[in-house]
Amino acid sequence: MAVSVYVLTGYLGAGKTTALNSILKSEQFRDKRISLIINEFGKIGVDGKLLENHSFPLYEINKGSVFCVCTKTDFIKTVTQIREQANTDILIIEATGIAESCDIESFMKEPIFKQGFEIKANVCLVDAANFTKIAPFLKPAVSQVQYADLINITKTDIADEDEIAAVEKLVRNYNPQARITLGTYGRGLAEDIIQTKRIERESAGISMTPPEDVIAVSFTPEGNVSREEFLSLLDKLKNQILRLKGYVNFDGQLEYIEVVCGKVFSRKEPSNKRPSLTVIAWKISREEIEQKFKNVLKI
Amino acid sequence: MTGRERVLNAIRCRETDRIPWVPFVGSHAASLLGIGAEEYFKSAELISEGAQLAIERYKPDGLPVTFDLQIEAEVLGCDVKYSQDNPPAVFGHPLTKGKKLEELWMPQKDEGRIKTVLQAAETIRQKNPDIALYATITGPFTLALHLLGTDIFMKMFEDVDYVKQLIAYCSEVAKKMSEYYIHAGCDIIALVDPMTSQIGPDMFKQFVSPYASEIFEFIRANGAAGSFFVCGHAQQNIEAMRDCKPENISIDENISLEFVKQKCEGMQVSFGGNLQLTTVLLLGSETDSAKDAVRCIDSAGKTGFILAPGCDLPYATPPKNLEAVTKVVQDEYEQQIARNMPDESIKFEDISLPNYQDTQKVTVNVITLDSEACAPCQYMVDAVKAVCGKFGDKVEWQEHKIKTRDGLKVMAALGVQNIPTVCIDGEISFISRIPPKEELEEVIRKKLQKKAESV
Repeated sequence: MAVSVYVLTGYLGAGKTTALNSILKSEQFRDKRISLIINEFGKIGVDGKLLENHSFPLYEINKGSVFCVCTKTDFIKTVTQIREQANTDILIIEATGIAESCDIESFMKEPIFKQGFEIKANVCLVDAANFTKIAPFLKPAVSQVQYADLINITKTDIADEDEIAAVEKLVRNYNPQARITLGTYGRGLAEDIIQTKRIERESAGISMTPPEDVIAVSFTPEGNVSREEFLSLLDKLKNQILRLKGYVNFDGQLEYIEVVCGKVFSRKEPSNKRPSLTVIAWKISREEIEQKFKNVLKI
Repeated sequence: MTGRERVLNAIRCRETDRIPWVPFVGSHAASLLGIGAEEYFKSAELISEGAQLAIERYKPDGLPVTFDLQIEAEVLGCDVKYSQDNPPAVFGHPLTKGKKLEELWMPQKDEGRIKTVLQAAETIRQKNPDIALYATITGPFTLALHLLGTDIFMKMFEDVDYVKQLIAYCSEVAKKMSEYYIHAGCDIIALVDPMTSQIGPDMFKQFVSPYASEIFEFIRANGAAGSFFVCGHAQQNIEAMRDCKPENISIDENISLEFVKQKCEGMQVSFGGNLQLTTVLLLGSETDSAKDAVRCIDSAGKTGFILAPGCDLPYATPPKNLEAVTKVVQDEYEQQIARNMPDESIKFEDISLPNYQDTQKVTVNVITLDSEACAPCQYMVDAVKAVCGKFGDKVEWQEHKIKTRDGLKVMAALGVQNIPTVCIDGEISFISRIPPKEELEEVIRKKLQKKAESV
């Protein structure tokens, strides 16, 4: 019988290792013969240590040159080893936060593995508190969401409702088909995973209508900015701005300003920070948002 | 034309007599020497000895001193883990452990393994004046990631200025490393920045382009050529990379050569890659490797292209696979053969060969590319024709051109790997060698005699 493969993705800090521990301890998984492949860039041994109380065979993949294609060499070597040892019912692959899900899926489609392994579910963890910050900078964080069969929004205990709703909307935009669940510390995740069905996708793996892109734009406003005009712009763009953070000179006074899920926070900043501003937005073109902000920032 | 001239011409999009071949030998050299990668990466002597073996075996036009993206990071205080069959890996990042950016320094040429690789570069240069010598240096974005870890992605939102300062520092390190390598005799500086595949073009233009452009300008001003190495799903950034004005862009198998060619053509930027590392060079056969080399050659065209693997060669790559690439790149006839060789994954379900023992006649099969188009095949067929004619109707001979499906079937059924080959009664008898007439006659005569005796 083919080894059931579960792929666990999620960008750095999303809580994959915590979730993995919870899965391994769960009723659904604990009595199975499990092998683990851990592929965390820059975190050699950390996950191994957390897992040392378990008796699962653990394989670490970590190629020094961080070239994705080179990792494939080690990956194939490891999976071959697992197959040859023939003592595994379930293989869990914890991908590095910066892995492209399509790479892992394509590795498993190599002719040498096709017969012996079957991907049962691709599970992606999304950090409710940080996903909107990461999305425009870290391409794989988005493609991991796009390829997932199950998306678990984590750390819902430290994010507020608006934030969770915004992340859910964003994630749904990227992947209209996957089941989305909310959770903390991977509780109940094992049950969700077992119930998850693989999503049949087009060959490209992604839905036909391209999702709205998340973009990040930075500005360095030199002069004085009208606070009123600036806040009015934020209000007009409240459905497009996911995050905003920076320092602006409002009417002669430097202020720290931050927008999280439409809510504006600001405070007077006595330090000599240089005025600078980064805006993360979606459903708007880069040109349009640049123009609007440049008008108000007098750039 | 020497290999060095060939590479330097190709990299500047000038004409060459043939496509140059540059195997990226790093930890693979350790396997050629029969030692572990850790020992190899720590010794100038072993690095240069490994390069020498690679030069003898693979007859390259160019070669990197070694392939290691941890040298600068290690000198600057990153924790590094060595391995027996891989390059070392960075796992601890000084800027997340309390070190301040202002406390980092400019690496000196006698520090850590910088000294090791510069010594190796000098030795390899001295012994091989006719080979283009590459140096791999860590790209500013990847070095920044080594120093700060993946916190960099969050900081790209939270502290843009800091990230830019860090990348600016890393690009100064890259310039310094380029200077050291150029003085040690390297012709081409490969700025290897694989982590840029993680970001989109907007971020690339904001956080990478200004710094990378400056580095390539610096390399040019110091008399060398610059190559921008990337890997992974980096298609979205190829135009931005090209606009940094390197002499060359090098890609792995995740991006098609046609795509890169289209983006680089007419822009005075050459390109290189993208032999498949794992499924072909490491796990495949000589035929797979030869066919993949031809795929690259045919996709890329003859101007402004350098044939190379997608990135550094895996430790255990079988040397015979790389030798097969050497053969193909150096000889157009071998390219033609490889083009027509059957893909080993293709299975001919309907193959059946006659039972040669059922007849008193001897059957001679000549497997060729095409005796009308290829000289060695023609001589082989002529020799067979002349000798078989002497035996009248006791011997039947036939040419099987592998340009046809039927020819491929016979080739696969007989287990033939090289062209031209002569099989007598189903047995491979002469491979890639025109047999002297007497020898061929003798083999056929013995077969006939044996058959007569068994009646």
